[in-house]
Amino acid sequence: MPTKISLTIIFIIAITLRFWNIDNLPSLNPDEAALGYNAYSLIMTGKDEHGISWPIHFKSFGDYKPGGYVYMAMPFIKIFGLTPFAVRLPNLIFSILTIYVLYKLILLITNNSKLSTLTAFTLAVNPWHVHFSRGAWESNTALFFMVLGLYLFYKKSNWFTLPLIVALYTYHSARLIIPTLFLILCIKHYKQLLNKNTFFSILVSGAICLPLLFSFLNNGGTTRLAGVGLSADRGPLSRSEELLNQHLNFNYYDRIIHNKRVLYAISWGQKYLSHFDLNFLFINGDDVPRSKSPEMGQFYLIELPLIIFGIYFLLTNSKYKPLLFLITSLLITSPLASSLTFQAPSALRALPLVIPLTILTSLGIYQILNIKILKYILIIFYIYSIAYFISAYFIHSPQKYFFAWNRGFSDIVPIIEKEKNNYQNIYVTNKYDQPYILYLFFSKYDPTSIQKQIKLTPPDQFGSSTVAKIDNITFSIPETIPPNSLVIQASDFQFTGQSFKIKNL
Amino acid sequence: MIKQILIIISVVAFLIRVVNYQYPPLLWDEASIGYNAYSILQTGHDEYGTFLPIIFKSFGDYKPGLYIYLTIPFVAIFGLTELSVRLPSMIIGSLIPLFLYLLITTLKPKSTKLALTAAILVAFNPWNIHFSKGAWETNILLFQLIFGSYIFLKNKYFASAIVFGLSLFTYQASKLLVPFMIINLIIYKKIFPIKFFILIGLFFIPVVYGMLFGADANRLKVMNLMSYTRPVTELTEITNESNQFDYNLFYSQPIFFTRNFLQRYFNFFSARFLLFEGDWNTMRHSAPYIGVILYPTFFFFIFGLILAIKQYHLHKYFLIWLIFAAVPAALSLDIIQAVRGLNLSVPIIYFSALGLSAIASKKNIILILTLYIASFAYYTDLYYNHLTQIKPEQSLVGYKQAIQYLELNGQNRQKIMTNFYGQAYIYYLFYTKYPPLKYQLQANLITNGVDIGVVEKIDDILFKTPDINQIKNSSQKTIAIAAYDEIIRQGFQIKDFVKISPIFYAYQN
Repeated sequence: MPTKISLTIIFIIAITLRFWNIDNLPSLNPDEAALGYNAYSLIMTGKDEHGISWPIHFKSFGDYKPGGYVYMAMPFIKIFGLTPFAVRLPNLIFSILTIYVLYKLILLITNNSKLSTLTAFTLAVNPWHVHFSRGAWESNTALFFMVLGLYLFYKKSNWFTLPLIVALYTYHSARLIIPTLFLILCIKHYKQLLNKNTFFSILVSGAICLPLLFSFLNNGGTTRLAGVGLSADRGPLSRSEELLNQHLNFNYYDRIIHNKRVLYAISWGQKYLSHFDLNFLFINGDDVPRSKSPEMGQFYLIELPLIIFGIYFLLTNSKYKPLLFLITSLLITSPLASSLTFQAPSALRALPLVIPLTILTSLGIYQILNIKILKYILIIFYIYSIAYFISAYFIHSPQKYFFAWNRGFSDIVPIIEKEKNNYQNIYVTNKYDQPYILYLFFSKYDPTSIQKQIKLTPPDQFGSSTVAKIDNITFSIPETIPPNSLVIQASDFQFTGQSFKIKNL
Repeated sequence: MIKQILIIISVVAFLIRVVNYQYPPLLWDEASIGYNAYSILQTGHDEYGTFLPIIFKSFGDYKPGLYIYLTIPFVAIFGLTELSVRLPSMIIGSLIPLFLYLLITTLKPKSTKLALTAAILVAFNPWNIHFSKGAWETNILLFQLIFGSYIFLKNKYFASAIVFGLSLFTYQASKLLVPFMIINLIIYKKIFPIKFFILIGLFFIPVVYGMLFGADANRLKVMNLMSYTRPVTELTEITNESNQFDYNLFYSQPIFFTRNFLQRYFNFFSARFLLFEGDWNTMRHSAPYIGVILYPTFFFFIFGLILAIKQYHLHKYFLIWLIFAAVPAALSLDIIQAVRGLNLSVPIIYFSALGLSAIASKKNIILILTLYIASFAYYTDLYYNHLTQIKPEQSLVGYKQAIQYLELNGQNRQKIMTNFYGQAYIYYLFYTKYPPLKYQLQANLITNGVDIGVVEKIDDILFKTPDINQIKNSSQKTIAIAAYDEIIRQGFQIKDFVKISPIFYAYQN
């Protein structure tokens, strides 16, 4: 089949998997709502929900979100209005473009159009990539700019740093992964960098990054680190105490080997390596319901043997040598940011891992495709796997993980709006993380009005806050409910088929 | 020169395994092995009075008998002690480095450096040390797999068939591992020795017979993941979310089984198991907070695997072993099972040695040695100072002291020993060296359909939960050993009891 036709089919599949029913599946989550509402607020007032003009980091829930995505979403919200589709559109477009740029990148390095097309295919149908394409996931947007940066780097363009800067402005984890990755690449290909123009472009890029750095330091970027960073995990600390106490009289040697730094280092190692756990990659996937589909891994199981073949051919075939270095660097750097947080493995933070693994998969496919029988078996297995993913993601996830998917919140906002003036108090469940922002989003609440009254609660153990009250709506349910109240409780969807119970008192 | 090095490795391996031989405390199976050997030695019958059994009834778990027979000479020399029960495993465990060396040099002549590295690594490998320090049948099986393969490759088919055949009476996992191993040897040697197959076939007859018409004794228990089905609630949940067709296609029993099997299989190759937690399902199977191989070994393993993949035909034998080693263990219900998976340690060590011998040079040998010494010292501390303290109930700390306390203070008193941690009677038999003839007359294992039974009484000693209130108010002089949990559950203060160990407390009225 000619490459053009194959690519067209691949993009049709990619677009279908990513755009189908994107307005409802998954239901909008608070982080997406925050990105969208802040963009909306900027369009209307030039300030974010907290009344800050054109910020680099958005205070949002006190987590200081990198602002890149908010600015990317603004034109779409201007055109389509404040809807889930509009908020998600930038990431959807970038996710499709990622496939194309990866295709170009592999073509550039290997000059093998069949292999490049296969890589485009494996990324297009990859459950991990599809999952984070469907939604306003900054992680996936940052990934696009990273891949674009890689492409420009291998193209020997002087301005390969520009997309990388966009990524740095878009997502926290990229700030660790991208500098490390490109440091490795630059050391390897240092000759390419030894010219005036590159030097100039790097200097300019450094200058563009300065505001980001200042904003990060001023806006509690460090508290964010403390909230989700390695030290937020108290496990190694208490383990150190436990082990020391088991020595009746601990001496200097015991103090050294059971030092909390030693235990934190071991804990880091475990988190880092957990990203290569075969159960994470192929059987169970992430632990966080919002990042996974039930009963499947981040990759299709059928891709495990393909990846092993891919590694074999990568190691033995000298024509893949440039690819070998790129894949190794990507494998090593991708879990870095995620391993430094308290929760690992994390499919969201270690998303760049999807790139080296899809390349390896396609290498495996490419090499065994010559055998006719295997070709047909492979096609059957892929059709089955994609169908499995569709069943898990589109049918089971929204029902099984209804809380994580914030199912049904958009339906109750019109009810609140209608009844708002008929009751003295409205109480809404806080079972969902930050219900206030979902309310603001779906009611298209007037930004100037929220800027005046917004008040964040004290941060919880993970450093995130919420807003407890807007007008007469309280986002929690007290034990005793005063008269003349409307109460909207969470309901167990799997038993009742409904996300909410509405009671009026 | 090489001979001397090998002798030194074996001696060091033995010293590592024999030092502090009473630690950790005896487990149920070890006490049972010891007492049955003692019983055979004195009377020719096991604890139930069966004459020279091949399979021992024991707690109703029907132990393959080879280990017990190996123990007999040591019981004859040293008496019924912890040392004599554990010596067979310690000695055979310290022969593993030597025979691994011989196996590797037979498979690949001129690979002395690789084989020596592997011998050293296996001598110091936590996984192998752990199961060589106690009476673990799986350790004997591992030796038989190495030894049997070695003599097979030396064309001694008759002896090889006997070694492999006997391993069927060593440990359950052999029923799957031995066929795998023989297939692997045939693939490697490309010959088909008829007399080997006739002989090994004879050994398999009772196994196959047992599988087909089985009493408990021979059933292929290794496969119990096969009969594990999805809980009904989960099943209805899935069909409610979609429909029967979707369930049949994506969630039905064969797929459920495959996912469960692979999950267990992959766990053996996870850093969590190998480096950081060991057997997280059963704490007594490995040292706490650390894996079953040393930290540097892991990196050499990855590197060795990469080297081996490049030239897979040179390392075919160990690559195939690496793939099938964890299969029997992954077919058990346990999410991870270090005991049954022990044979995986050998291919892992082989590839680690491959990586290490390729990397090591005069320049970096000091660095590598330092890393290994630090890592081994760290492991040693966790093994000796923390294994029994973190979960004393897992290591059954204090059975010996409890029995001794009972014997010392229990004259003219009714004796009650808790059975909270199971099979207390065997510790009583073991530590009092109870006359086997006398026990055989009264042995009464009560089973209620499940395969592990209980013994409730020997002479006038009761093995049950002591009712503290009743003892307190009784006029009969009584001494009781209770488990910590039982005391708390009955609402008593722990300070009124005599502490024997973190889990056993004594009480007398």
